Amino acid sequence: MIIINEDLCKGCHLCLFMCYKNVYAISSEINKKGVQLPFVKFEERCTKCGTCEVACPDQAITVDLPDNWWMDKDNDINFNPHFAKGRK
Amino acid sequence: MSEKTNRFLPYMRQDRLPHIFCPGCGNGAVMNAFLEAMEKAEMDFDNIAMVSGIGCSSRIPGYINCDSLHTTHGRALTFATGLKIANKDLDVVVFSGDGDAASIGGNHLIHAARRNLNITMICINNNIYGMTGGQVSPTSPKGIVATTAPYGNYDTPFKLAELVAGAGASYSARWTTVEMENLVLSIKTALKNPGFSFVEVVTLCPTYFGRKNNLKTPTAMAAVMKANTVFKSAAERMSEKELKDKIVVGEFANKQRDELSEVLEKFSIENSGGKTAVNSAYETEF
Amino acid sequence: MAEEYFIQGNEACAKGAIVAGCRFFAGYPITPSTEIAETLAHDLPKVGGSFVQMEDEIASMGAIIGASWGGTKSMTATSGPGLSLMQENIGYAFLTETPLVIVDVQRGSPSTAQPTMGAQGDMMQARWGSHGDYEPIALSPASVEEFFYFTIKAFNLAEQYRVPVFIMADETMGHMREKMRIDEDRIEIVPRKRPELTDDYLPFKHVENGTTPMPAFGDGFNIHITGLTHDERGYPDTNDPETHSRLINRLCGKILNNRNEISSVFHQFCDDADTIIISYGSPIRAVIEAVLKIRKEGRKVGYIKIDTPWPFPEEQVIELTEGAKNVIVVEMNLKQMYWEVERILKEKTNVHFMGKIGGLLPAPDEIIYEVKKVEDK
Repeated sequence: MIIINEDLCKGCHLCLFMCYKNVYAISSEINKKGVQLPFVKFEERCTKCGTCEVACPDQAITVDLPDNWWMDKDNDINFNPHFAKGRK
Repeated sequence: MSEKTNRFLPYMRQDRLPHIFCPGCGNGAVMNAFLEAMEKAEMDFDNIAMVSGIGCSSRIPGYINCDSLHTTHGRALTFATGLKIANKDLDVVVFSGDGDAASIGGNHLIHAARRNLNITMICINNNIYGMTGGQVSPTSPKGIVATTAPYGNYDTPFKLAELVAGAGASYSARWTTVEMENLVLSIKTALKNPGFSFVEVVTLCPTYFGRKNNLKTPTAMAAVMKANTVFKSAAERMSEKELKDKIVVGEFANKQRDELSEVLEKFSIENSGGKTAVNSAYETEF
Repeated sequence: MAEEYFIQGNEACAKGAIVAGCRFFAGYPITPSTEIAETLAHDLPKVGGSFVQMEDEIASMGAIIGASWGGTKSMTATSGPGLSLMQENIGYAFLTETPLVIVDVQRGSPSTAQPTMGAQGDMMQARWGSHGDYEPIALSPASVEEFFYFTIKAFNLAEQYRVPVFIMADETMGHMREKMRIDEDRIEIVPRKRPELTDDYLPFKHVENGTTPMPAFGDGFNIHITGLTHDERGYPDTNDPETHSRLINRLCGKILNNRNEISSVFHQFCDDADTIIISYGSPIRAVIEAVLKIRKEGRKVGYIKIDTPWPFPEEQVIELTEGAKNVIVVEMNLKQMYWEVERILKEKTNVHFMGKIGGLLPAPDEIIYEVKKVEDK
């Protein structure tokens, strides 16, 4: 699960820019701090590279996925099946 | 609490968050990159002492839960020199901005590089004075608009990483905040390097640099920065005209030579027969 | 056991520093204080310490503040122009309560002026040089032996009150050679207090008239030291007027409320004196000679030698000048400490000034002439 801490996020949307797999999207609503929060739209694309965690200037993103999470479903594939489907 | 928190938060003074940096400011990302590099270099977090001067980037040590010294404008390197020589077991890291390091502290910067004392300096270069409201800095590219350069900056900027390499630093590199992987690896190398290590991080200042220069959102700035980034090896084959407005990234120095605190310790051990001055202020007998 | 040396003032200061436990010196060459740096560059490695020649005085001051937080007693030596460069960082040291010692061997000033001539023109620079409200401690030695003992005393006061301490010597004092007697019984060293690592430790705890023990970096306290107005935890709190006034009042109060313990004077013949001469530093040597001479003529003259110009020993001076008709302030500048004496004594006696600039000490005969002029008016 990818968690975005609403108290810390300041809405710079660099996570959208930095994510190689376009996991994030911007919500249309504005929260009480006046921030248009990003949200995780395509979690299945995530390769757990951790770039967004490092790139988030406000320490708001936590990528809490098990290592090789796709292995549970399909044991014979040892790479992320969604890896090639990122950008369409 | 079962919910997992951000992996950098345990290193931070969480009672002070959220920090004062503007949305999209690269300082927070550099802070993460440093912590990630520190983990990768397998350093002892309790042994790290941070020193900083004045400016946006110099607020970083205030948010990290280690011994930190927030000093006067431009003088961070001098404090770090004293601290490192007084207790050479500490891993001293200096955070500094471009105005701090290149303008008011320019002399200290080149002399620290010349002395080659084992400290790591991370210079967060946002090309502008952010804390005072967007004045032109010694690293502002030619032609940009700032509050003190309303008709465009007419000065040629400093190339900090090259300058420090020329002054004799044993490690010098430049990276940007849009390429986190390289930045993290570079900071890791700098932390492990015995000698003066300098990492210049070109970063975003959407609030003052971007707003004045038609790059109003952090993502727009990041996109332009990414497009303008050129690797050093590629830049060597490019003409000066092609390199206009480009950010050349890469390592500019990586060579070891005698390190000052080792040399000083050798002097004092030869002369004193192994007496040490670490924490000597707490002793009564001399 | 006592040892005797025939030694220069600056060398005596360097020896005093090593005896007091100074293990870090950062400096920049400047006449007439360079011999302190030279002696320490030679002697510090022998006791396990370090000497660094920095790129300028600003850097020297920064380095010794850093070294002090690194857990080492540290000092620097300079003269008037260098002290001017150090002022910003001296203010930082006051706000962050960093113990250190600054030796100012004063020379003809302002600007470059007379590098090889003595003066006492930095007394007010030591008091008011940095911006904002603070209370410095300054000691003024009058002999080579005193230069040695005052250096030790300066380190002790710095550790005790966690403040920068100035030693205001002058060129005459620094370059003079005379006999110095070191008596081990007279040497007392105050070590830094080590705090206990507890959960509720506050590095800038509000202690009335005092300060808390100071940890060194690397001890595990994870302290944040900042030159911004800070709360008791050391975190910046720049917008609360209450925090700022509490902090600055405590920093000034720890010196002002202990001024009687810090300050000291030496005096002679003050009980019956009609005229009292007040002086400090090297001119006091001429004053003593003049007083001894003039008393043989039957005039009742005494003198007060001020050991600690800052904080000014107000109570002692008021008490000692009780009953005196005239007070003469002798110094090597154009009225600096004079104003301090006039401020506290103008209601009680006539305060006169005798100053001499240009590099020469006032001669005893000049002082006798001045006393006669004042008394016979």
